Amino acid sequence: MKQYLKFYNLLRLTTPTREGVVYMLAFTFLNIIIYEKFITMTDMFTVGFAVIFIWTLFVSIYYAYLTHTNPTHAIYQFPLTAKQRVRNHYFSPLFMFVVVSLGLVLFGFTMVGLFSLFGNTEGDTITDPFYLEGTIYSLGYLLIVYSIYMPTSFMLDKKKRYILGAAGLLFLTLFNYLIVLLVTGSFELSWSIPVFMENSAGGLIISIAVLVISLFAVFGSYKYSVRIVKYD
Amino acid sequence: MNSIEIKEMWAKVGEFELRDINLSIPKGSIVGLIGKNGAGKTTLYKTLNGTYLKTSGKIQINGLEYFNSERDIRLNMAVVYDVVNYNPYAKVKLLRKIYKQSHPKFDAEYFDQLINRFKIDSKKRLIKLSLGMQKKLMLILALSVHPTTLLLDEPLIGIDPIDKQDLIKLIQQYMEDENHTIILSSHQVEDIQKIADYVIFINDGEIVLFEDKEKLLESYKIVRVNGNDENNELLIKPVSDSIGTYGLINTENASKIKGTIQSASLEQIFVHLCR
Repeated sequence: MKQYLKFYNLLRLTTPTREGVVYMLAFTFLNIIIYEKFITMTDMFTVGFAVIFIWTLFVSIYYAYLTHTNPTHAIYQFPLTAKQRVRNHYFSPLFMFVVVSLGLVLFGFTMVGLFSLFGNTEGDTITDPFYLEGTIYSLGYLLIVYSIYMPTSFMLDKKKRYILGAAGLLFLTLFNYLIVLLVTGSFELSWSIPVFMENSAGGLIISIAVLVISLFAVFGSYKYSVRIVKYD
Repeated sequence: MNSIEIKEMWAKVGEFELRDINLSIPKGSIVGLIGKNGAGKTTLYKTLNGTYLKTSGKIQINGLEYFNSERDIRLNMAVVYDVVNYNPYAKVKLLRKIYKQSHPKFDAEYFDQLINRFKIDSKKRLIKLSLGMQKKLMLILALSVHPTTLLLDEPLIGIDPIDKQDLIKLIQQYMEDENHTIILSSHQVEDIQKIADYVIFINDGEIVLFEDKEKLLESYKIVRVNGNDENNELLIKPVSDSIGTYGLINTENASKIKGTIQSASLEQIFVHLCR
């Protein structure tokens, strides 16, 4: 953790430029849309933890891309190896997600505290359903998104980045349909995947399988990124 | 052992290519890198710094190669580019803190001593410092990690003459350690003539010449002859003007030609060889 915090400070020396902004915005929004269509399905595009994760992922990719494509970046003045840089960049979305989430939770508690102090909240309760299978699936799915997009941080070829990004979207859409097929036996998307999972006998097994696959995907993604940046 | 050893190195960045670079730079030397704009100086620095990947060939820095010793190479090498590419809103004291945290060889005491000497306010943001001050700060940061190899890309541009002398002194002070090596690029060739031991001429991605500076200065003369003598084979890239013709000549051929012979400056040698 201490190592990562030092690395995070190095990232603070980055000069933000327009390079990579379009990619970041395009793929953040497209991934949020896919996530909302299959997993949240509220059509309200609410800001949940998944949306925060997707944002932090693509902001981290933007920063990693800026450091990687700029040979004069301050990061190269420090004794880090290419592998260490990749490893720390892989921590960035997770670190940022935790920090932002904690900040929002704190903000939420403060607001609730203020409402209860100054407003009449007696009898106000919300029953928020918790879907175990859906939560595990959602976690696995987001890790797959993370695995697909992290290597694009290290691709110097812009065209290749966009091709991989678009292929990723296609893959994620097909993957979600495949899960719907496995759980319901048809491609009909009448309700969100977490609800399908909850109502299906094999829902838990499928969601755990997705989580396991996603962990392998993260490992493969990291290895691929290291291969992109390594010296011959 | 040589500080930098490059063998048959090729590196392609976009359309530009460094071609068949061979260099053996001895330890303890100051090497002046001279070339036109776009000749490949910065690309060579970025390749030496491992941020552009070579396409073939070999680079060894203090006997080490990037693929298995990147950390050790970076620990002992610092680069100052012609552009200041740190977050402009970072304060000087933040840079100090980051270097102290992340660079094991950073000498905070030496850094403080130098920023006080050059009157750089540590509470100021980079954007509030003049270009000259920013460049000094970058050089100070680089020197504060006591690198054995220092790559300087146009470090003296935008700096007033008084500070320039101070920086040259600082560079010379750094070179008192015989294990230290500097590659310095500059369009101000007279600065290189003052401090360099070796000279590299680079043109269109190729090394045209790598030579001991004193030997190089002894090897060529400027000769001026009366009348138009542009076709004289002994003259290298001769130029005619209203008085006559002047050109570069090999010292060994100087006695074979009738004319006024003068010592050639590094700039004159460069202009005639790389025009």
